[in-house]
Order: sequence, then C-alpha cells, then structure tokens
Amino acid sequence: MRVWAERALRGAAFALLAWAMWRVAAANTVGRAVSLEGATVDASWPRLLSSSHDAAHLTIANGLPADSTRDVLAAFAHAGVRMTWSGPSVSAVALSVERVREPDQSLLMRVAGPGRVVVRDAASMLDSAADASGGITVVSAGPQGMLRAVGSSATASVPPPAAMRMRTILVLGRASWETKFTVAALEEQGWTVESRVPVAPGTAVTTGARQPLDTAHYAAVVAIDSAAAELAAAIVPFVRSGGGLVLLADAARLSAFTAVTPANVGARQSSAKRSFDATAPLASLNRTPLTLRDDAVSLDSSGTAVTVAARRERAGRVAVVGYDELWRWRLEGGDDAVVAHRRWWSRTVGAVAAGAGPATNASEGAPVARWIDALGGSVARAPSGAPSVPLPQWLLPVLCIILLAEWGSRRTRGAR
Amino acid sequence: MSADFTFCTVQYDSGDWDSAPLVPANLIDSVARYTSIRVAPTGVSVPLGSRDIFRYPLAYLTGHLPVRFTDLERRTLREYCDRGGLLFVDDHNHDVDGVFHKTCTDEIARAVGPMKELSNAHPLFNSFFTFEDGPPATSHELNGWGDNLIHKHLQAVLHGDRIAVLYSNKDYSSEWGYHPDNKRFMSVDNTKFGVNVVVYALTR
Repeated sequence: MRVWAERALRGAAFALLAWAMWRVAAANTVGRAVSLEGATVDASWPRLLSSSHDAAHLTIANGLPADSTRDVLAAFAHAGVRMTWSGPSVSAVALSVERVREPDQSLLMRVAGPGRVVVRDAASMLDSAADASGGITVVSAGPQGMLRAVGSSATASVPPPAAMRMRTILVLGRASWETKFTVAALEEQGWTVESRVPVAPGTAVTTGARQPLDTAHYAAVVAIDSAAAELAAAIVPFVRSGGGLVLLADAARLSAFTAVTPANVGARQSSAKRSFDATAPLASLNRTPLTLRDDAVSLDSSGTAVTVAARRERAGRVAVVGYDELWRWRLEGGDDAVVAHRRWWSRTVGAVAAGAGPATNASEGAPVARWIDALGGSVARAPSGAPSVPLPQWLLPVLCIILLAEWGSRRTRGAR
Repeated sequence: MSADFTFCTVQYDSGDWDSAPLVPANLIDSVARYTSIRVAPTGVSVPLGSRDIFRYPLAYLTGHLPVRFTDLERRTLREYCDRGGLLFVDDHNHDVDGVFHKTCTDEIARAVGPMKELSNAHPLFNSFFTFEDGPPATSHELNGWGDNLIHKHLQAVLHGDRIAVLYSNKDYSSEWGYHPDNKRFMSVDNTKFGVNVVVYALTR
C-alpha cells in the first residue's frame, strides 16, 4: 500500500512537471507579437488579424495615425490583443474658431500647440508660427472648408462657424464732426447705421427707420454726447438684455449711465503734443482720464492711462472711450488714417455688439487624449517578441511537498 | 463750451478768395439763430495748401477771378475730399462764361473729379429747411445779372452718396454778403439754404 502511494506521488510530480513544460512550450508557439509602423499600419491589418498574434506594438514616426486607425486598434485591444505603442512624444494642438463681430465676419482662430503649427483651410495655408506654445491668433476673411491646425504630431480641425446676422448700430450725438465721422466710419466698414442727430429744439436729423430699441433690431448704441440723454431710459434696459453700448466721455458723464459705465470720467486733458502728429494720431488727441470700476477691464491704454474700458452689464456689454475728437484722426492722420479710423470704430463697436455666435472648438479635438484613452500611454520600447507565460505560484511548493512526501516515505521504511 | 462747428473760408494763391467777407458772419448768425449747433462766433480763413484745412471738414470757397490751384493746393484738396471733407464753392460772378466758373470747374475736375448735376431731391435740400424746388434762386438770377440764367440745379462731385464738392453758379456770395443785423429788414431770410449746407455737412 505504501509503495503504491509513493508511486502515485512520483506520478503526480512528473505530471505537474510535464504540464508546466507544455504550458511554456505552448506560449512560445502561440502568443507572438507583431510590430506595426505608423505610416503603413492599415496595410498590417491582415497580419494582425492572424490568430497567431495576440500582441501588437505600433511605432509612430510622424504624427498620430488617423482616427479610424485609432478606433480599429482600440477594437483589437478590446478583443484581447495586447496593444502597445511608442514613438516621439506626441502633444495636442488646440484650435478654437469664432466669427469676429464685424460686418465682414472674418474668422478669428486661436491656436496653441508645441513647436511649429500651420493653420490652413481646404485651399491653402493661412498662416504659421514657429512656436505656438504660447498660443497664436490668426484672422482670415474668407477661408474655404474645414479649418486645420497642423502640429508636428497632431492635427486639430473644425468647420467654420455659421455666419451671423449683423444688426443695426444706432448712433446718437449732436450735430458735430465726431457724430458725422463716427457714422461714416461704421458705414464704410459695412455696418448698417441709423442715427439721430438733434439740430434744433424739437428737430432732429434721422437716418433709418427707427425700430424699438431691442436686441432684435440693434446690436449696439453709440452714445457720442449729451444727445443720448433723450433715449437713456431705453438704452440701459437694452444693454441689460444683451445689447452693446459705446460711451464717449461726454455721454458717460450723463447721470443716466452712471450705473452701467465701466469707468468714471475725469476732466478733459489736452494732448501733450502741440500740433497733430500724423505718426502718433491717438497720442495727439485730447483725452479724458478713465478711472476703472472694479469689474471693468482695460481694452486699450496709452502708457499707464486707460483709454478704452469695458464691462459686462448683465447680458450686455458697455465700453467707454477716453479719446476726444477721434474724427481728427481720420482728417489729420497719416496715409492710412481713414482706414485705421474705420477699423478702430468697427472693432470697438464689435467688442460690445450683441449677436455673437459661439466659438467652435476642435470637436474631434483632443486627438492625443482620445488616442491615449484608447490605447494607453506610450511604452519606452517595444516589448520582447514572446510574451511571458507565468507558471502558477502554487506549482513549485506543491511539487516540493509531493517529492518530500515521496522521499520521506521511502526513507522511513528503509528504502533508498 | 467748445464749438462743434467753425465756419472756414478757403484761401488760395490765385484769384480773390476774400471777395465775400460778410458771408461768414451772416451764415454763422443764421446757424446760431435757427439751430442748436454749437457754432464758433467767428470764422477762420485757412490756406488750401495748409494742413490746417483738415481741421475744418466744411470749407467755403468763392471769388471772381481765374482760379489756378498750385500742385500743393490740388493735392490737398483731393486728400481733403477723400478723407471726408466737403468743399462748398460759389461762383461770385454768377456767369457760366465767366473766368471763375471756367477755371474753377476745371481745377475741381483735375483735383477731385468731374462734377455732375445734383438732383433737386438730394437730402441736402431738406436737411433742415425744405427746398422742394431745389436750390433757392437769388436776386441776382432773378434780376438777370451775370449770365441771365436761373440755374435750376447745383453741381457736385459725389463720393458714394456723399457730397465731396458742392458747386453753385447762383452767386450766393453776393446774396448772403450783408451784415447780419440787416436780416431783420428782409421778409424772407435768404440765408436759410446756407443753414442746410452746414447741417448737411455735419450730419451726413
């Protein structure tokens, strides 16, 4: 009986050793890895589909593969193929696109990414930056098709946002050159402008068919001076419901606008320049010092003096301008003064105008994050070809116990 | 309180730019009398070739004698109109065959562009007072002086729909050339169209 037990233990020990050897041998013949190259990964699908591979390693050389490739690799991973990848460090490129709230509705593209980034549309390159890590801004009037920011290892793309309906600007001011040339600048820049210019008690020169002062009809009101007092009671609710308001200093002094103005205005100061300097037109203008409210921000400044400030007033925005007689810039400035004056006014009004469309961010964006989510982080190097097949931890102790029991039994009965 | 409008008379090297010295005071009086525009009590005279002209986006030019602009005056006038200035020219001769008319229209065409007849429905004619028949006739036209014509229209160089140069053969310079105190003796103030020119320039 004891001899039979010893024989059984020896048989069990041999059986366990044979099972362990079979397992190692099976791992060497079945579980092999396949190596893929990023540029030709699609052509490798047949090899990967072969049942003899249960691991794959992708080496990326030039940028992440396409999203479709990423999804197929993720599917393999979910099906049990052990996916790893390596390559130069890949970094995300962020792209945000919105329409400028001005009549030409140019596209404002904000791009950030490491190293050189090229911004392009379907037709051509729009701009590039040697280092966009700090973010760059690109403005383009008429890009075609999908917009892309192409970095060294990633691409972000978005379609251009839909065009906005630009509403009318209402200009209120006395009969003055400032009123006249403000209207002219905005009209020449493409805005639809209505104006109301009182010229005598009970008499005003008006242009346009006056509509109710609401955001369905008007994008913003430009209040040049005290002539705005007549409509001040309607302007404040208009702003609070989402409209824009640009106050020149004389209008900002009106008590009706005290609650909404971004800055307190001081007494007008003469320019330090004795005559108009065409090379520094804004510095040649007289100014009104602005003292910002706590919730206001500076949009423009000259030295330490704030010259344009803005703040939100509920759903709307208000800007106050500290420059006096801006029309002199157009008349007395340099060769580009007419264009510069137009653009300044358009930009200032656009900064507060109602009707902004939302920014469009790279919706397929975060391609690097999606890649890592699907396939994990990169590995330092490709894993060795044969996957390790660990033997069960219980195998060695059990084997030792069996052999000790068999050896002990034989020794205690005097056998060798 | 600073002025929103200062009447500016243009000086030019040739001819007699100062042939109507009473017109500025008379128009200033009318603007102050009828409107709430903050008008400077006295006008200024500015050389056409000077950069100072750009401080006055409405300028008045008149004379009897031949007008020949210098190159600088021509360049300045073109730039003045391109930037939005309005030059109001009145033929003090009231004579389409006169030397002022022939030479001045030629200079304007060279500097700014050819003039065209201004429609009597233009906003200029109802910018403040309403002139349904276009520019008001002057006593000089009605008396048959000068070219013995009643000019039905003014002429203009338009930039878009805006008047850059307004030209009159009607001799408003004579019509308005009297001391403002004498306005009280007139049954109808004949300077009202001048108010329209000022209001138009300041509002359109």
